[in-house]
Amino acid sequence: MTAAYRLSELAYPFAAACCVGMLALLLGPIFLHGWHTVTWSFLTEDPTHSGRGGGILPILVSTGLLLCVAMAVAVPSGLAAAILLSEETRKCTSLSRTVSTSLDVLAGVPSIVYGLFGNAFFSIYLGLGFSILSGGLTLACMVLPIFVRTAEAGFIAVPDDWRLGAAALGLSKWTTLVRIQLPAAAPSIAVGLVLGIGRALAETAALIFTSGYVDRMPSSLLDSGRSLSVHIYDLSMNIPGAERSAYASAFVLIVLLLIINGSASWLTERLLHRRIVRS
Amino acid sequence: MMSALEAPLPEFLTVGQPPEAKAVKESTLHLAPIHPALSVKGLAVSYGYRRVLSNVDMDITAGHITALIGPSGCGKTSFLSCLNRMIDLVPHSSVTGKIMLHGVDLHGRQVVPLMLRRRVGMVFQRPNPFPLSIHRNLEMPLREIGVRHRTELESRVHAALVSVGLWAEVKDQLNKSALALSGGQQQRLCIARALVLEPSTLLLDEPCSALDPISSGAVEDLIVQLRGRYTIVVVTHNLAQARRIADEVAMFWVVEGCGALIEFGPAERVFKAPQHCLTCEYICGMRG
Repeated sequence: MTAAYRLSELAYPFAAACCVGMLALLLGPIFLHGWHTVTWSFLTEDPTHSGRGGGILPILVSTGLLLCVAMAVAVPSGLAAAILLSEETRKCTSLSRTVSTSLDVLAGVPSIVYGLFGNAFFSIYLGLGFSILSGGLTLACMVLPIFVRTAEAGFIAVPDDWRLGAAALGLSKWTTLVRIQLPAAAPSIAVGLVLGIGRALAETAALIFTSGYVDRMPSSLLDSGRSLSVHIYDLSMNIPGAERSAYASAFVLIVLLLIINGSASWLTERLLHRRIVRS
Repeated sequence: MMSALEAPLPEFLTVGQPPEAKAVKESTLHLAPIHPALSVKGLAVSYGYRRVLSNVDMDITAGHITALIGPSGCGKTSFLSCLNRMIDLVPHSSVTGKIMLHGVDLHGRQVVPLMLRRRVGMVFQRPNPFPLSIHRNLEMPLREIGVRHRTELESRVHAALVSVGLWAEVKDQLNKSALALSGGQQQRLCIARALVLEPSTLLLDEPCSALDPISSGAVEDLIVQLRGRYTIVVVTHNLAQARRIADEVAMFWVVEGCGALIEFGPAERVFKAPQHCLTCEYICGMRG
């Protein structure tokens, strides 16, 4: 047994421990300081004293609305784009190469750039102002590249044999898509959803420019609203003495992320993938 | 100087045929009406600028099994794909010539490929059941053509499974995944899936080549049983199989870089007394 091999034997567990340790370091303090502050009233009351006291109800509502707008726009258009792109990629057309490269570049664009674009286009040019709608649409632009590329990979991975078999039976493209391709690509669509929701929920920079950070209850989609991550940023950086609320909000954000991701995967599995009967 | 294509046949190559295969054939052939189901005239296929098949003329008899033989790359599968216009799905493919089915040119504008493929079924080299239950695999094509009534669905699914000899094996597990079946069962399910639409013609692209000998035998027996009820065109690299099951044999070869039909006729004649020296050498294993 070589020395390098023995070293690697030691290095693997150490690297794994580092990964888990980082996660524990990150989540530990949030759970320690956050969980006892999170009470029913914290979730159902308006914030007071700039967030030092009270709860986070309007922030939760704004976050939910932002997410709904972003996903309502990103999921249907992203799915359609992924289906088209997977068909084009099979034919190796220049369109597919151009769109794929553009999406990869877009996925790497810093969120502050999305924020400036959202502010210039949605808030000012389209006249939506600082609103949940502007914020949601900006988030949709951010989520789209990740969602499209992940879902596209799922569609490309569907074996050609099934498509050919369906064509040879005279099944329409719609039936092939709905009955065979979509269910088979469901796990990738779920991963795309989870990644997209994660990115949307975690976003701060882009939202400051587009949805603003008013912490009152939004009365419509055209009202300004503060998302949870913006709230955490504001409490920890701008409001002295609001650490407890910041920890509690971070705790709520993480739990929310887990719940939403869990239900996204469960829904995709239930609605689509269950139609597939694997051996 | 005489070219290789025109060289006379050596007599020792006119080999005989096992008597049992002939007996099976004669017992079932009386079911088949002797008229062409598919009439191919001057068919040529190109992929982009590359011509892969040229000038094919062939009359495929209704109810018969026609075997397409020849080495790889000589255009057998391209020819087969023209018969139900699956070739349309190949990017940059172009087809010239005529294929007449009941007096209609298949590549004419009035023919809808989806409708054609419901009349001319196709089974591929690798079994490709959908990742659904056995029942859903057969039910889906029926629902697509508008069969909604539960009793009719059940009876047609049952009839298709019986006709491929799968009913006894899977009747208690119709809701199990089709992917859980063995390779041979999957291929027979794919044949059942094509038959459930009650096509007139069945195209089989090397249906046994991805199967073990036992499964291959089961699929081959099934093809023989379907003789007379469907017009069957089968691509095969297994010459013994072609000899056992085919009524007519079409021999393809690459001539000057392009696939061509070099011999077509009754299987017995092609195997016993081939007219073309390349056919002769190919079936004796000297070429190809």
